[in-house]
Amino acid sequence: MSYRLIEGLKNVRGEYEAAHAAMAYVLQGWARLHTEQAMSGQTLTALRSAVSNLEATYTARLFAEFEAILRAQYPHSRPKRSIPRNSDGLINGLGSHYKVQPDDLQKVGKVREFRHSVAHADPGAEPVPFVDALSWLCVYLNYISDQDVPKR
Amino acid sequence: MQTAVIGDPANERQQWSQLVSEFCDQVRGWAEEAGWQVTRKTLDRTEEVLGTYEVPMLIIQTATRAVMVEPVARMIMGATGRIDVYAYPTLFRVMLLRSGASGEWRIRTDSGFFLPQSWSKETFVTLVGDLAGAG
Repeated sequence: MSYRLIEGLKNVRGEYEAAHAAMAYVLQGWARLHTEQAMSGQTLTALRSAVSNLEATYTARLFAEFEAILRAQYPHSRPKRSIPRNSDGLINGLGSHYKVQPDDLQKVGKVREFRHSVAHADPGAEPVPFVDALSWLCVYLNYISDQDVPKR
Repeated sequence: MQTAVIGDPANERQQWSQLVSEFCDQVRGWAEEAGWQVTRKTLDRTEEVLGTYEVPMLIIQTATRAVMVEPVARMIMGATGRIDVYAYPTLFRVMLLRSGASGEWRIRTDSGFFLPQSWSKETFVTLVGDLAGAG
């Protein structure tokens, strides 16, 4: 099991939860907190918008971290191959090497499509909740043999 | 910014490590009584206020998936310690948050709700089954 690879994604979850808790606290206490120096210049509308977009933003951030993990891992798993330029190539390349089940590959594809729609403000893709994205990406990473993961 | 007030960091680290160790011993016993195989490992943890220290973690192998019992930190907002229980590799999780006043463990789901059940062998066995079977 590639526990070390999964640690990177767990850290993104920690950041997301901390950001969510902080923003929810400020939103809830807006009447009391809006006069604080640290809040000067902010609007309630922007704060509400940030809260409502936070999950999608962090799902995109999670996928970026996942892609970086795959990019760093690729030469260790497939040393004779050149590193694919895009996330699709990375996912499929490592997916075929480690025999990732089609259902698990499809789920990672859903996160990729959602990340793409967030990054390009294209509402076409089906939304993926953060907790599902995390779970699906970790299941994929678990196919990567720990022996292939370089020690830090 | 206000920082958390604690006594001697070395003393606090020692108390937390001991509490976690006793917690893991108890949970290991519950897991083995339930027929699950348990592996105990050592984790390094670093906290701003406390520095670096070692704590145990448990890997519980159920029939479906592994479930981890992983101490996260002593210095936690709204609690005096946190231990995560999560399925691997799906990372479906509950947090155990230690109440400052009573020392009891409260169970918080990823949806942000606290479960009404108190922490006990029965609750633990149910949670492990639910986490391992989800997804």
